[in-house]
Amino acid sequence: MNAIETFQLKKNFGARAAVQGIDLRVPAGEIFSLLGPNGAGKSTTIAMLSGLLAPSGGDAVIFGHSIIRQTQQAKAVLGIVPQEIALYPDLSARENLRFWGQMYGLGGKTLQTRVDEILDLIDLRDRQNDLVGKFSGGMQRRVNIGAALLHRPQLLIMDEPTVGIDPQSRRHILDSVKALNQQGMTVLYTTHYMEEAAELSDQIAIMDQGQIIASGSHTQLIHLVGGQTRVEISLNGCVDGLLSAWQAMPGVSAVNAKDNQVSLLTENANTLLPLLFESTAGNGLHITAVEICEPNLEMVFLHLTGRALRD
Amino acid sequence: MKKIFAIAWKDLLRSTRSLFLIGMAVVAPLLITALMFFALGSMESSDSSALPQIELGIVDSDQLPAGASLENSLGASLRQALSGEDLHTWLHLRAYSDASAAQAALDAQQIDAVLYIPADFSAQFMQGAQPTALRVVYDPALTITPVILRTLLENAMQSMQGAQIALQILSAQTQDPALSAAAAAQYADWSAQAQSELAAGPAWLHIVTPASADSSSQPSSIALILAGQMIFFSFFTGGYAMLSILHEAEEGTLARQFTTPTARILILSGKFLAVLLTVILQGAVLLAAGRFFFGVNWGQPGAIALAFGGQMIAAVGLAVLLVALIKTSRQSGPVFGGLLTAMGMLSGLFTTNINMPAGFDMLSRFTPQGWALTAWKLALNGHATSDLLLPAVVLTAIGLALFAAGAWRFNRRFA
Repeated sequence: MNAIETFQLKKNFGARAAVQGIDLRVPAGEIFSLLGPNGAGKSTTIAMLSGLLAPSGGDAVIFGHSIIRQTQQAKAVLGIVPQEIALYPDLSARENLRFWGQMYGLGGKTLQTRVDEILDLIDLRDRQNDLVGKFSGGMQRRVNIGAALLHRPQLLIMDEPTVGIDPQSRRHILDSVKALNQQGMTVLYTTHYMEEAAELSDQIAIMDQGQIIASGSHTQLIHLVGGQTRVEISLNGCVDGLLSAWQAMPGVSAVNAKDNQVSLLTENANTLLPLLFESTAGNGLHITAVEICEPNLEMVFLHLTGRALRD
Repeated sequence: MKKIFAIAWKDLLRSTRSLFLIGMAVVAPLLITALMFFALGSMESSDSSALPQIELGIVDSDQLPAGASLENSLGASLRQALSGEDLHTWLHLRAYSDASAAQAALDAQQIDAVLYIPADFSAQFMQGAQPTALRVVYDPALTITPVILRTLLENAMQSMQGAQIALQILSAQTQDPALSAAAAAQYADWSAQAQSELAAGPAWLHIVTPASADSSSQPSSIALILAGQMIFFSFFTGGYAMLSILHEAEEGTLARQFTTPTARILILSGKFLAVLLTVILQGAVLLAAGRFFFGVNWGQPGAIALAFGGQMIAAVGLAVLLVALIKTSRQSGPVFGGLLTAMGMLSGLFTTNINMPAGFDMLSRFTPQGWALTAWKLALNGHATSDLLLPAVVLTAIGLALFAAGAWRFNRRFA
């Protein structure tokens, strides 16, 4: 069963198409990441799925509920963790959680119990009566996530939840996401940090300019760039005389040069490097720096779009 | 419905934790009223129509000349006139046997002034000559007392001089000393009576105080000031409380509420209810504070309910519309500070104790604050509940119309 299915989902802001008819399938029980640079359309997609924005076209179904025709039912199975902290700084952690629980229809003893559970989960039981405005950024992030979990949603949507926080809080959030997923919760996670997507996700969709440009598991995406390693070399002089020789070396699939820097794609960097040093010395030049980059999602994005993920 | 109350309760809780809101909703109106209260209190006490209490020492050395036809000396008649029953409430006489004792009492500020009646006062008078001058010495620190004494003594002396002339004419025409003596005695009695009535006014003149001017049923200055302040800050509080919807939109909590399975109309209703509760709470605190701190009698319960209810509905309605018209919370400063102050001025909220021109009163009819002030003036004047129906209905109609326009705009904005 799919937790989310979108059918040519579109969103236009005036003449600008923020999301250009995407078709997503997020299987239930998985962690699915939407990876893309800022402005790729990730947050707009999430805003439509969460009922915040009305689509300009298409539809999406969340656990069988259309976001257009069964909006309230679709919202009831969702938990949303917005990108920015969306809490009341002048209310305590407990008061915030109580309020958001009430917004999901909880009340009475159930609400009380759920709030206690969440306070334990986010490890803030001892600070429950402190005002959220006095919390650190990481603690606020934890309450922000906790507020989305009170009604035990089937699908948790997290919109870049680790932006601008310290490594410790980031680790806590990533571990929480894994733990929630192990309990059966489907997670749709958006990020522009490829490491997070790689670590967490069962499947990843890469978005750019309002479109899904690739999707699949981490391994499948890596294979889009042939599983090759990128070798970045800096030299002390002009590299033009070397390029044709390097292109012909065994295992080298691509060579790009800019100024005194060369980028090569190869299946085995270890066997290639001695040959590169030897060739360089033969041309009266010196290698001043070498960087070996294992294949990753950054390279996939670069391969697909010609731009870096963080451009 | 539970969600509406949850939203309203959350907003109310936040409002009670906002020092700015509490300051503007409750502290500022009470503080301004208190300052006015003390200012007016000193003005009213110095403006009192009650005469100061005057302690007057008298050294009466006047002696009737031998063979005088008068029964008492004129000095004694003057003392009798000054100790009349009506003057007694504010003019207290103390007789001194000699000038030094009187001067000592004056120096010790036991008395405010000393009237010296010379020994030949009656003799000179009887001879028809210019009487020897009366002499008054008073405490130089006093301002009103000398004026009052001077007026009293001038009146007395003018009466005596008139009688003196009349007696001289009578004596010249009748050549009968006995008749002249009898006339002088009658005149002395009349003069004493006239002097004693000086302060109370003649018997044939009755000054009637109209019932409507009875101070017990008139609202005090402070009540009107507090009513004006309460109305002004009620509208301000409504606007500020409603502003929370823009703050929430900017902070992302409103969007987050929209992602929950809660209809937008419920969310907006919760916000509106919170504004209404905030304004009611503020009004109740100010009404109670006015009663207990300033002794304001707000009027009959029914009249209070109508004025209060109308004001609340109008304040919420205007708040919803104003906040619906502005785009960001930054725009709230000019709107609330400027527009509400201008409306308050047009409504006469800051000039409750001043009779404004008729045209100004007419202008106030175009603002909900003006109608609220009218309602409160009626309530404070002790009018019956039925007298407040018109302003209450107008306020309710204005409030509902503004609310409908604002809610429609909000609904469009957040649709």
